[in-house]
Amino acid sequence: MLKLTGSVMIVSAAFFCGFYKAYSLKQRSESLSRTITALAVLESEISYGKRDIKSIFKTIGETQKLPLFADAAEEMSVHNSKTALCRSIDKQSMFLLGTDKSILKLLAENLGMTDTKSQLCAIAHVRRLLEEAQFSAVNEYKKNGRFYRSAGILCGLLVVILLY
Amino acid sequence: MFTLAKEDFNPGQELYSALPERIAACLSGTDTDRLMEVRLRCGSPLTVIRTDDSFFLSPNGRLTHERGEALTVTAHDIRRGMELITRCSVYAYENEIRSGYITLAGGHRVGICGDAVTQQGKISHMRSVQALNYRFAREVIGSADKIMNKITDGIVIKNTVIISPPMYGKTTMLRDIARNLSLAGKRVSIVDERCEIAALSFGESPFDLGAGCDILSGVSKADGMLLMLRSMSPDVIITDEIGGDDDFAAIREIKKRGVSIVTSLHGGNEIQPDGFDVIIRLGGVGQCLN
Repeated sequence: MLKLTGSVMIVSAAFFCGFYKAYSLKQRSESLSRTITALAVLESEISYGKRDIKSIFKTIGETQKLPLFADAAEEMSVHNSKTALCRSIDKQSMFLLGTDKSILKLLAENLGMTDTKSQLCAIAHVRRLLEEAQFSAVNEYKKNGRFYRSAGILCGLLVVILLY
Repeated sequence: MFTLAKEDFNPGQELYSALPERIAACLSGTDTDRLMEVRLRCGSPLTVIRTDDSFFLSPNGRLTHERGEALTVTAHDIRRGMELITRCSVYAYENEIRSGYITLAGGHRVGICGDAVTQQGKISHMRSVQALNYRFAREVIGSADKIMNKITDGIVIKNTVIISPPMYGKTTMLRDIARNLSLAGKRVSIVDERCEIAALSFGESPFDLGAGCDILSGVSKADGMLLMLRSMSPDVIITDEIGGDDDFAAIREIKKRGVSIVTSLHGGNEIQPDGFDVIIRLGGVGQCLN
């Protein structure tokens, strides 16, 4: 009975690891996609709305369900836009890789502190880089998502067999 | 002829929150009752201008005339000041920066200068900011009491131009005139191009302007006055710091329609010849209060 329980636990844990890895890949792709949409909103708000960065972030956080921006809006009560966004990027995981976060930090560099034209150029640049990252994230999920899920179960079963 | 006195006032907290933190902290330790301006110049001592004198501010918040004891303003202070003034959104204040100032909540104004970039002869943006001049707005209820009988007899409102040098309280007085006329039941239209008279913020003025004031802000005085004339059927139009030919043309048009105008103009202590020149340019009927 003890062996059976142990085996079930090992298989479950391995399944969970594999599933979580696949889930991370999917979430990274979705987070990047939502962030790209958010940047499009940011572009149009800066271009036409002329609202301040904090209100734009707050709106984006609520409408796009992106805690990154909602949190940055809160941080802006204390810090400037650059520090606020960087702190928020560091705090929020969103299943993003270090390279994705580095791209987002480029956005923080002069956020809000230049004229409209420069702001739009900077956002467009970051958006382009994120689109490339998202393309690779989608491919990686397609390529490896099912593999991680299957590999998780199989590894669990292998461990159980070896233990027996 | 009247002389406007530099009166005491309490500066607004809105402006303190737009000052760089370390400078606001230094100022909080000093007597700010008579504060009029705080001038930040990159690499220079922080200057505080009060109604009685001009001082430097030391790092421990003491007012001094000794340049060596003064707190030196850094590029970081200027940048932080810009972040606070624009709420980290310079792009949203491009027009204001081109005009050289940003008006804060409460009607306080921050003058901006630096390395301007021009396109087709006009300022397109400010590449780097060198100095910020924080000017405190104030509400002095009763500041116009002495001249109200010169402006109106209760029925007729005389066309009036208030002429004085900068910082002598023209806008403060116009605000009080607007309040008095509004309380007297007149339909008052305020054309507030620089958001100084009424300082509208989210549709509300922080000042007591009575119940009879219609306010149009952020539009040029000439266009705004004609718009108010057409749309709000005012008894009087109040605006600040006229000067351009368009302003004078608009005022002449308003006078033709039988609507009164009360306005202000930068000028010296002497009423002549500027005052008469203004009256002539306004169409010949009116008074100048210097």
